[in-house]
Amino acid sequence: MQKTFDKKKFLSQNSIWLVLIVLVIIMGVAQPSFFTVNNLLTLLSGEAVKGILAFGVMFAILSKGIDLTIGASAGLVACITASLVQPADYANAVFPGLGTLPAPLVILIGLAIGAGIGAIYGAIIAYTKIPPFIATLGAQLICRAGAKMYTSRPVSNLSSEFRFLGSAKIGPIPVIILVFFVMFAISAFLLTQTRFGKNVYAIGGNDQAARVAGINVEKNLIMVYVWCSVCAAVAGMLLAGRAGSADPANSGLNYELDAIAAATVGGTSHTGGICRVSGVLAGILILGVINNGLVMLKVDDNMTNIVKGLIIVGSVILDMRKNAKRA
Amino acid sequence: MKRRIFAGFIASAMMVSMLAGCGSNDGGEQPQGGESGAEGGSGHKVTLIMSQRDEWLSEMEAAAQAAAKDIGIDLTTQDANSDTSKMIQYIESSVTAGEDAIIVNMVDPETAAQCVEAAGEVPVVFVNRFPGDPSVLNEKAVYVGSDEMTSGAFQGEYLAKYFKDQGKTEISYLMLNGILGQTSTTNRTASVLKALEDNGIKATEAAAPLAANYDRSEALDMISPLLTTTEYDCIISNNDAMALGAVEAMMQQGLDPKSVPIVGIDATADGRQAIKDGTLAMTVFQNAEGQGRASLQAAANLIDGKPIADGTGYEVDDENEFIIWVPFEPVTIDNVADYD
Amino acid sequence: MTDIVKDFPGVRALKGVQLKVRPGTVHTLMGENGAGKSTLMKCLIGIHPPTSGKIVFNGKEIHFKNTLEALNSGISMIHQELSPVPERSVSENLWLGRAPRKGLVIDHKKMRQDSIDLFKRLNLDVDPDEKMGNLTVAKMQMVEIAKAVSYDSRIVIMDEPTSSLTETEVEHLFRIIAELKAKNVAIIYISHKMDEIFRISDDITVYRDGEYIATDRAENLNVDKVIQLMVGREVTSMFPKVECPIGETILKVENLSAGRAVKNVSFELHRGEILGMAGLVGAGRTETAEAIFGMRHITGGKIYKDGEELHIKSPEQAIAHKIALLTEDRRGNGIVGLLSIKDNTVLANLKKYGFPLNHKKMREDTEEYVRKLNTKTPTIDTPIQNLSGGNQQKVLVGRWLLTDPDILIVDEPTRGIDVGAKAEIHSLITKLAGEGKAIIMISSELPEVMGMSDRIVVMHEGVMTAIVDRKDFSSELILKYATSEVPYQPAADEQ
Repeated sequence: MQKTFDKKKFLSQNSIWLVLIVLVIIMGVAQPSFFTVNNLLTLLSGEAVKGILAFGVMFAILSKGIDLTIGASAGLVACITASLVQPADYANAVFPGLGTLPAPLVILIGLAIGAGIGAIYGAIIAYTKIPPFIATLGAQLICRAGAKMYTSRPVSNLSSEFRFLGSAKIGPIPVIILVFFVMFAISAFLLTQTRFGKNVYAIGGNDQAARVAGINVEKNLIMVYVWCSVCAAVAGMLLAGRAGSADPANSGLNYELDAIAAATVGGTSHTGGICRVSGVLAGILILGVINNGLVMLKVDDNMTNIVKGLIIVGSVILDMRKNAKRA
Repeated sequence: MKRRIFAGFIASAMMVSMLAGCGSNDGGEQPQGGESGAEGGSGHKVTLIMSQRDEWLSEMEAAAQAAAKDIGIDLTTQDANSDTSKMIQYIESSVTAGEDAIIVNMVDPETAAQCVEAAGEVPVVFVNRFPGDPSVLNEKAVYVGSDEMTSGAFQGEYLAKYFKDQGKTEISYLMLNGILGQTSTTNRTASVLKALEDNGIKATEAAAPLAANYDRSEALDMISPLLTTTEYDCIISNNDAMALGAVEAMMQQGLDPKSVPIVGIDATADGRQAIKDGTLAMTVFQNAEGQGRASLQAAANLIDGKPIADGTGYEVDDENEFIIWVPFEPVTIDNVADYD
Repeated sequence: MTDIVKDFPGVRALKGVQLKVRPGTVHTLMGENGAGKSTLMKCLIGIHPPTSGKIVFNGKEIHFKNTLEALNSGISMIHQELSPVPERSVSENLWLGRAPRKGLVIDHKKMRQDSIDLFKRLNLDVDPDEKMGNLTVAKMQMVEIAKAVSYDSRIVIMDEPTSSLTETEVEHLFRIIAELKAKNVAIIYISHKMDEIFRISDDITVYRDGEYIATDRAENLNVDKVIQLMVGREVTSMFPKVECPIGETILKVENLSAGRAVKNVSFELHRGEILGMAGLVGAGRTETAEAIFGMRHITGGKIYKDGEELHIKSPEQAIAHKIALLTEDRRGNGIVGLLSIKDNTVLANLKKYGFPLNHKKMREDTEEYVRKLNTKTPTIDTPIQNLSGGNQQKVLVGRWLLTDPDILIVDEPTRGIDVGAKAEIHSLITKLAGEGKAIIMISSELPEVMGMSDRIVVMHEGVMTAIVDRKDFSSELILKYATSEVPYQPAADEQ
C-alpha cells in the first residue's frame, strides 16, 4: 500500500504543463522579449480576469454543468460597483452627486450581488433540474440586459481606491496578479480541503451515488453557482478597476467562453467528476501565452483565434483518449 | 413532422407577439412627449431602430427623443443588438404597426436596399451609417449623418502635421481596430491611412492589426505586451474607448501616454477629459445630438412633404439632394472646451 | 484462442491465456471477478484488440478491429450492462444500423414484421413497438439475444445473463440456449451461479488472475472442484450463519406505503438480527429499502427507530439517524467511478473530517477498512472503477461501516461478485449482526437469504405476504409466499 512514484502517471497527469513549457520555449525563441519579467507580468495581468472566471466555471463543469452567465454577470457587477465610486462633481456620473463610496463597502456590495445572482440561477438549476446550459444562457441574457438598463454609457472616472485591486502595483508586482493567485489558492482550498469540494467531485462523477451517500445535491449545486458568480463579481470589479471604466455593452462580453476554454484545456472534463486546479492554472497560462505571444509575433487576430480553437479541440480529444484508457 | 411545423409556427407567433409587446411598451413611455410638444402637434408616429446602444449611439438616441418631444412626434425606439435580421424584423413590424416613418441606424450598411424594401411605402431615414449603395437614396429614403471616410481623415491630417513639424516623414504606428469586418472599422482604418499617405507620410504598421472590438479593457490587454517590445511613433484607434485602453496600458507599464500621440474618434466625455489631461492627443467629434435631431426632423419633413433639410440647420450634399451631412469636427486641447 | 496477452496501462490483464470452444456446446468461463473472463471476451469481439496472441475462428485467423466486424462474421456478445437506445422502439433497437430500406427510406413495416417473426421463432413475448426503455431488464436481454440470433451468429457470448432475471425468465433463457445449441451455435457463458452452470454447461474453463487454469468437461467437475480451481484454495462454508442474541426492537415499520411500489408494509427489526427480504423481481423490496432510507417519497405509514418516529426525507437525514443502505445498483448509485478508493470510502462521512478536511485521518480510516475487508487494490488512490465488482462492493461496505450505522440495509450485496468475495461479505454481515447491529438483507438468491437470515420478509408486487421464522425456512414455502397475492396477517401472539 505504500505510495510509489509512478513516472507514467505523473507525466500523464501533468502533460498539460509540458505543453505549456513547450509553448513558452517556442514563443521565447521566436520572440526573445517574450521572456522579459515585464512581459510575463503583463501576460499574467492580462489573463487574471478571465483566469478568475475559469476558477469559477471549473466548479460548474466539474459538477457536470456549465455557467454561461459569468461574462455578463461580471459586466453587470462592474457597472454597478463602478457607478458607486464616481466622484460627486463628475457630470457624467450615473448618480451625479452620490459621490464615492468607500471601496471596501463597494467591493462587499459587488460580492453580495454576485452571490445573489448565482444563488438565484443555482436554485433554478438545482430544483427545476433544467439543464445548466439553458438556465445560465437565460441568466446571461438577463444580466447583460440588466447592465444596459442600469446605464447606457460606460461608467468611468472611478476612485483610485476602488481601482487599487485592478491597476495598482506593490513594488513591481501588479495587485491584480496577487488577486489572481489568491483566487487560485481559494479555489484549490475549496476543491481539495473542504467537504464542498469533495461533494462537487462526487456529484459530477455520479450524482445518484452522491445523493445516496447523504450529500445534499441541491444545496451543493446552488453553492457551485454561487461560487461561479462570486468569481464573476471579483472578475468584474477587477475589470472595471483595471480599465478604469465599465462598459455595459462590452465589459466581460464573451469572457465566459475564454474561461470555459481555459478550464477545458486544463483538463476539466465536461462529462463531470474530473478537475485539477493546477491543470486549470496551466490552461489559463496556455491561452495567455497564445494571446500574448501571437500578438508579439505580429500574428493576425483571426489566426490567433484559429490557433486557440485548435488547441481547445485538440486538448479535449487528448483528454478523452486519456480518460478512455483509464476506464 | 407535422408537429415540428406546428412548433415552428407557435414559436414564430410568440416571437411576433413579443416584438409587438416590446413596441407597445416603448411606445407607452412616449405619449407625454406627444402631448407636451403640442406646438408642432403633428402626432406622427415614427420608429427609430438602433443598430446597438453604445455610448455614442445612446447619446444620439437621447437627442432624437428630445427632438421628438419638441416637435410633437410619437417616437418608438428599438435595439437590433447588432443583428441584421432582427433589424429587418423591426422594420417589418413597424410597417405593420402603421408607423409614418422609420429611422434606421443600420447594423450593416450593405443591407440598405433590404431595409428600403422591407419598409415598402413607408419613408426611411438612414442615420449615422451611410448606405453601402447610395443609389437606394431617393425621395422616400434619405441619409442623415457624417461621412465615415472623413473621421479617419481628420486623424491622419492631425498626425501628418504633428510628424512633419518634427521633420519626420516615415513613421510606424500601432492600430487598434474595432470589430474586424464591420464597415465603420474598415472605413475608419482605411481613411486614416489614406490621409497619412496623401499628406506625404510613409506609415508602416508596427504589429499585426489588433482587433479590440471597440472595448477598453480588450484594447488594454491586447496592446500591453507590445508597448515595451516594439517601436512605434503613435497609436491610432478606431474609437475613444480603445484609445483610453491604450492610455491606461501605458500608465500601467510605467510609460508616459503623452510621449507618443494617441488619437481616437467620438469625443466621448471620457475622451474629452483625456484631451484636457493631455493623455489623448486628439479625437474626432461626431455630432451625436446633431445627427439624432436632424434625423428626426428629416423624418418629419418626409412625412409632411417638406424639403428634407428644413429646420435641421444642416445642408444637403452638393450632388445628392437626399443626403444631409452633419460634419465631423477634430477636437484637440485647443477647442475641447467648446464640446462640454 | 491461444496465448492471448492483453496489457492495459500499468496492468497485464491477460497473461497468455487460451480458450477452445466447440460448435454446438455451451462453454462456461469461470473465475473470480478480475480473473480476465470479460477482458478475454472483449479481445475476441474486437472491443480491446489483444496485445499479442492468435484467435482462430472456423479455421481462419481473425483480427477484429471493432464489434461490427465481429458481428458480421458471426460472433456476438450480450453484455452484462445492456446498452439499448431507451427512447426508440424495440424493433428499431433490434435492427439498429441495418434497418431494412425501401430506397433511402427505412421500411418500418418490414422492420416490424421481421421483429415479430423473430420473436415468434424464439417464442418471446415482446411488443416490437414498445419503447426499449420501458422493458424490464429481462425483456431487454431477450431482445439482445434475439438480436444475436438475427445476425445468424455462430458464437454467442453471454456475460452474466441471469443476474437480473427471475426464475421463470431464467428457464426461458435456458430453453433458448438449448435451441441455439441445436442449431450448432456455440455459447460462451460467463456466470457465477454454480447450479445453473452445471445445468447447462458442456465444457468449463477456469481462469485466475489473468491466467489460464484448466478446461474440462462439465461432467468431470463438481462445485467444490471448480471453486477450488477458481480461488486456488478451498472455501469451506458459503453461509456462515452464527447464532447471536437478538436484542430489543430498533426499527419499527408500520403500514409503510410508497406509491404503487410499496403497499402497507409492516415489520420490526431487532438489534443483532438479520432480517432477510425475499421476493421476485418487482416485489417492492428495493423500493421498501429506498423508502426507509429517504430515497423514495413515502405516501403512507410510519417508521420508528428506538421508539421515536422518524420523518426522513433524504439519505442525508437517514445517515444522520444512523441508517445505511448498500444499494443494489452498484454502478448507478453506489460508486463514483472516477474517484479514488479513499474518496469513495469517506464519501458518506465527510462531516467527520472537519474543516479543512483532515486528509491524514481520511487515509488512515480508508486503509483500516481496506485491511479489515481485505480489499484488493494497488493503492487507495486508485480510481474505484479499476477494481473488480467484488472489491468495489467491499469499498462501499467500508463506506457504510465508517458511518457506524445502527441499521444496515444491504440490497443484493453479492450480485455479480466472485465466490471468494461473496463468502467474505457473508461472514462480515454475520459478524456485524454479532456486534449488535440490525441488518436487513435483500437478496434474490434463495440459498443466500435463507442461509443468512433470522427471519425473512416475503413480498409480492409491493405487498408483504409473509414473515417466516428461521425454523420454518424452506424454498417451497418462501416461493409460495413470493407468488401469493394474500397480504400477511400477523398472528395474534406476535403482537
